[in-house]
Amino acid sequence: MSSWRLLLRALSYHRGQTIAVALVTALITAGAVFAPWYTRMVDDTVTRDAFAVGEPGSTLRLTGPDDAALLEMLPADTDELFDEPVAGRHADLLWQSTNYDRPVEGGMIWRQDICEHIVLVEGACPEAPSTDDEAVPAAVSVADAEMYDVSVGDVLPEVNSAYNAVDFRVTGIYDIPDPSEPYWFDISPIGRSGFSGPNLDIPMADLFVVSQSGVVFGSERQRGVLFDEETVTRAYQDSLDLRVDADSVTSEDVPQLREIIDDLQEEADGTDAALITSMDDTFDYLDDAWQVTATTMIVTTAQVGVLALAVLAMLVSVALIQRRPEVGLSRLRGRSFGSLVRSLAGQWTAVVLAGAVLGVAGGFGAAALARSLWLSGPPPLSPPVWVVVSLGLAVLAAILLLVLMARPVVREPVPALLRSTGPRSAGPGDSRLLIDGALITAAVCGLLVGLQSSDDSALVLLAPSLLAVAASVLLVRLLAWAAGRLAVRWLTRGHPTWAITGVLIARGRGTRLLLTVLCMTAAFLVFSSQLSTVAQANRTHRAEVEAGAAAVGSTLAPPAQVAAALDAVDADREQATVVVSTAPSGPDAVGTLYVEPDAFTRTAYGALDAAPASAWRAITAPADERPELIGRRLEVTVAPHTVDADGGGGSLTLHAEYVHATGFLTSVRLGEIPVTAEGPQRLEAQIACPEACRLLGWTLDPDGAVDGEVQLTDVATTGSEGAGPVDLGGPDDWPLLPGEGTEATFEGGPGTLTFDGASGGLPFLAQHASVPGTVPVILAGDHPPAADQEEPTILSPEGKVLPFHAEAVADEAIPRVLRDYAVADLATVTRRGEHRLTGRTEIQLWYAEGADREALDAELAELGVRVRPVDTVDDYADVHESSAEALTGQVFLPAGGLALLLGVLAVIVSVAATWRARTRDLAALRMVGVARRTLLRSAIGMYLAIVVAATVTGVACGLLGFALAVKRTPLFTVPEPEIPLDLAPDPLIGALALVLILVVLAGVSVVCGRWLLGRSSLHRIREAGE
Amino acid sequence: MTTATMPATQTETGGLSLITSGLVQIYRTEGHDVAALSGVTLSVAPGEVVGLLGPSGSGKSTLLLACAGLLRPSAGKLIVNGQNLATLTQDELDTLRATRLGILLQGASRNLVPYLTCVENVAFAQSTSAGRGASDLPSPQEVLELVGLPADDRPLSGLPAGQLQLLAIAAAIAHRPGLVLADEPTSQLDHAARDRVLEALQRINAELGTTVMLVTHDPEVAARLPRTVTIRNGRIGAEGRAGEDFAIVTADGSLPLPPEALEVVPPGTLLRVRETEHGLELVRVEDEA
Repeated sequence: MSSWRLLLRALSYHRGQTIAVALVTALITAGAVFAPWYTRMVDDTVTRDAFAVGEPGSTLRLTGPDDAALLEMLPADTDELFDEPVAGRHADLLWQSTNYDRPVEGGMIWRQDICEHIVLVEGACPEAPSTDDEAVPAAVSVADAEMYDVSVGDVLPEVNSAYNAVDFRVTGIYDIPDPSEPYWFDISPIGRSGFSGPNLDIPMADLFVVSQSGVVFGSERQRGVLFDEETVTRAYQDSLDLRVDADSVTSEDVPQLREIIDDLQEEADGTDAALITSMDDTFDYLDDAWQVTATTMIVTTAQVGVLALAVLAMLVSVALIQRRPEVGLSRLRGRSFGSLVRSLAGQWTAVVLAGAVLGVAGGFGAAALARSLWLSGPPPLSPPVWVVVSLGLAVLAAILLLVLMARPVVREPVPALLRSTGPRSAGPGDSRLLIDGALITAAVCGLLVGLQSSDDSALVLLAPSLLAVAASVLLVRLLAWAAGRLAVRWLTRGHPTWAITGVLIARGRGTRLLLTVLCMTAAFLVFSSQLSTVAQANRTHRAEVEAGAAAVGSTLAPPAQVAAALDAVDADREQATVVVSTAPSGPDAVGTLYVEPDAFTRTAYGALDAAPASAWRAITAPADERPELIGRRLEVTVAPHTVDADGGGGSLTLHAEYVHATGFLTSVRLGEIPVTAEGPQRLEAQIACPEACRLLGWTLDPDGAVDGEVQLTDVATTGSEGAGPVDLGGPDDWPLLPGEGTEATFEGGPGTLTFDGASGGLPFLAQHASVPGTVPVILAGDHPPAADQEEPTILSPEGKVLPFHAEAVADEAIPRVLRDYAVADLATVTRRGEHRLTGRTEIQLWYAEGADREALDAELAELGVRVRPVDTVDDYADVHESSAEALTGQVFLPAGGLALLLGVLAVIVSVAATWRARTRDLAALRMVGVARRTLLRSAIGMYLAIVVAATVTGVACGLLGFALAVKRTPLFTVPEPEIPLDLAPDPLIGALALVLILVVLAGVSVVCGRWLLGRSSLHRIREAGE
Repeated sequence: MTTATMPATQTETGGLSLITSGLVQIYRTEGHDVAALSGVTLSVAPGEVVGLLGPSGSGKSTLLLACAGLLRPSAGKLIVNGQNLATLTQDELDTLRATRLGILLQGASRNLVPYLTCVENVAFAQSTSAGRGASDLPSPQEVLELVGLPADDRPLSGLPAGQLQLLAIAAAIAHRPGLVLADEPTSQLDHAARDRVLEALQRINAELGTTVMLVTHDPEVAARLPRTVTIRNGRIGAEGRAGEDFAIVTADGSLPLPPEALEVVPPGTLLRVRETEHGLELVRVEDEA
């Protein structure tokens, strides 16, 4: 008969073991296929996401004086990896506005197909200037048109005394629907219109949109050498922008991208061109991410793989027991060792290959499932070459295991093989002790190596399994020792069930590998569930802190208007709060977050982690007791006085600052006060306060050095209903604002304010105490004042410099801005009144969890506050959820589930391997009269005791391993030190894992125990004698 | 019931001779050694049929396993067809079993591969021999017919015990061995089946000249064997011919007495050996007075 037919018959007859071996092999090979495949897909996802973020990590910009030369620099293969390059041209310029004396700082820009990416709200897109043109056709932004009163047809002169100027003829007014559109490569022409400089006195403009030759025309005209390209140093710059095609880029493309960047850099170094890109940072990030993915997947898969191989080994031992008679018969008939081993290897190779086919399908299915469930994109499903290598290694490992286990059986003496039961796998006690010692040593050494490995190594993930191996070896000995002694004690005390259970455990049939597998299973499941939970919690926490709130919107309305509108629709701030963010003015400067402290601590994620409630109370502005002004005129009487004026000054000018109900700040000049006045002097000024304004402060501005006392009395408003005397409050309500060379006290009383001090010529500034002169803040980070400053300062939303003092230093990251920010009460600046906000300032609305954003936005819109959604916490969560750590972490729980399945298999296989011996033991006990019920309890108790001992030990190892490993486990590719990690194990998850393992394994144990007793008939004893 | 006595010799001498001399087999176990055979000297001629008798634990199966080359003798000689098994390599022993020895284990099922049919079992038994160069092997059907089984291909399930045993014999002789070693081939069989098994062995011996050595506990079977050897305490205790037992002088000149004689002359009894015209006479010295 053919060997093929014999093989099929053999496999069919031993179908139980055939199927079991094939299934376990399928599990192993599925893991071997899935791991590298999934790794590749994660790498591709991370790569795509890294390049999808935007500038500058995914773009490169070549700049230089010659657009043709830039094009020539591009390698030929950029088409496959990059989107279409966008050519551009740019020049700075100063031009003159009729609204301001100072020249406007602006520029002009041309980009390829720019007219398709701007919206002309009026006029037309500029065309190329002809040589006859005296002015360059240009489009100005909507913001500039409003700020500088520019209309279509206007001519805007360029200002530069060193060169011949060129004029710009406005052909259109443009807007940009989406400045974040990839086309702009982060150089949107708008966003600069406004003022800059410490005093907010430098007018800034958006870029003029001109034609490509228009840039040349203008810039060359600046130098008076129109179109003479040979002799002029051009003031403009050409650019070529390329963006990596994130939709199609894969991890395999990255080496080519590196090469392109390196080549371009090398080429640019030898020319006038320059390469601007941060892609090297992206490459570094990807290297780190891929390293995390590869190591984590290898380590995780290896642990489950080892478990699976252990179960396969148990399974093979059962199969070999069943095959002993056949092997013996073949040996009896003269078949050689080698031939028999080859025969068995052939049979099992067929089974392994069949399992591998299933495994490939399973691995492919798992990869496809993971791809559809949590890999966004999704990445290509093309298998990397490592799949073949990994699959080959897995198949080889399975076959080797089978052959290596079969060899000693085949080599057994024929008479031993011909017995119906195999010999007990017992070696000399010293050998076992040696093996146990070696196992413990290897596990401990492995653990130490893992803990000593580099910070970004994922080898520490092996900690729970290594601990479980060492602990299970000890547990085997401890359990046998304890069970034996307890059995004797229980027997003498009349507990037969417990005593028999103890004896059965102490006999230790097949418990060694079972305990190890169960220990590893429990340890891995607990570890993976803890790591998964803790990592997820930290990702969520970080996303929350980075987002700041459940959602954030942005508005162009001034803070006071936003706050007033919110007062109208959500007075208690249950749905949202106003936040004003002023970005730092430089790398060493500190930004400012103006918040409503009470609402902020309730709305912002992690606010109370950043600073305690007391700190938030400390920065809260005092109650607003600024005097109200209602009327059309403000009047004040200056009492008779004599002021020394050593510097020759003759008078002091009195100003009053007040804030309209709309939040707008106005300063009025009440008049001059002579240094000597023998009688009272009545001063007055017009004010526009038909509704209540708030008096903010007084300024007494001497025209020279003065020293003396001036008293203001009878402050009152007139001219409208509600006008009348103004109560100036108590003596402490008007503190002096710090100022160089001034020293004074202000003593207020009902209707009276007394200035008593000296000045070298600088004004006295008194500001109501409701508006602190030095802003109390919570400071994130250590920011001492600069060397040229006496005290640290922050910028107001308008860009004014404000002194601050830190009430507290943040313990953790400030929500959304994280670090290098000072957090102040918004009221401390809105009470000062507003002017035009600086471009660094963004007015935001932070929404609370569960807020009905659409309804709130609609209500605010009715009040003139239009809110544009910026982002939500989910956006930040999505970023972290698609990180290499999160995506690889997704396999932890399935791997834990697989480990549990292998644990169940281990129990079943263990029963199958030892049932003959166990049933003989039980049958013998039945023969001597032990009650069936007692035996049933003992049989179940035996497995339960083993399972419980292994599970509890494994859970302890898992938790200990977690504690050891979690600090060195990479949870984020780029750590955020300002957001400390919470690495404490989750007791609920630990308890759930323990219960899950116990319930599953104990259930299997009960079934196995009952089955065992059912088969322990008396003929088992006779069988043993054969 | 067939009661014919098996022939003592064959016209075709395809059988192998078996000679043991001072054969000792010691099982070494933890703590102590057990001598299963303590100097067995036995000679079996080619084509002879010999039954091994003796109580449980006397060493019959050990002797059989040793003759099959499955145990390495601790001492003494074990010569099969002129080859001392003690000096053969493992491969040579494998070859010997694959080509010249047929071994029948106690219990028919232990000799058969359960998932193969009757014909396939015989073919499977021949495969090892064929793999070692044997040629001109009979077809499985011929082998089945030789042992008295139908030549059609049937699965093992459902075969009665007697037919299973015949099939086991067919598998054991499938490669035309010169010596068949059978361990209790008739145990657990009814009389009819037992007789068919004995007939099959007789036919094999008669037609092929195969030497047969079988172990049995059954006196009826022993009585039908031309020669029996009784093993007691690892030694040859007696020999029988056609159902009648005789004491036998061993190679060292000793004379193991049958159990019933030992009751008369227990160990330690002084005997005088006298030569008479019929042979020797043993007389207790104490009786001479």
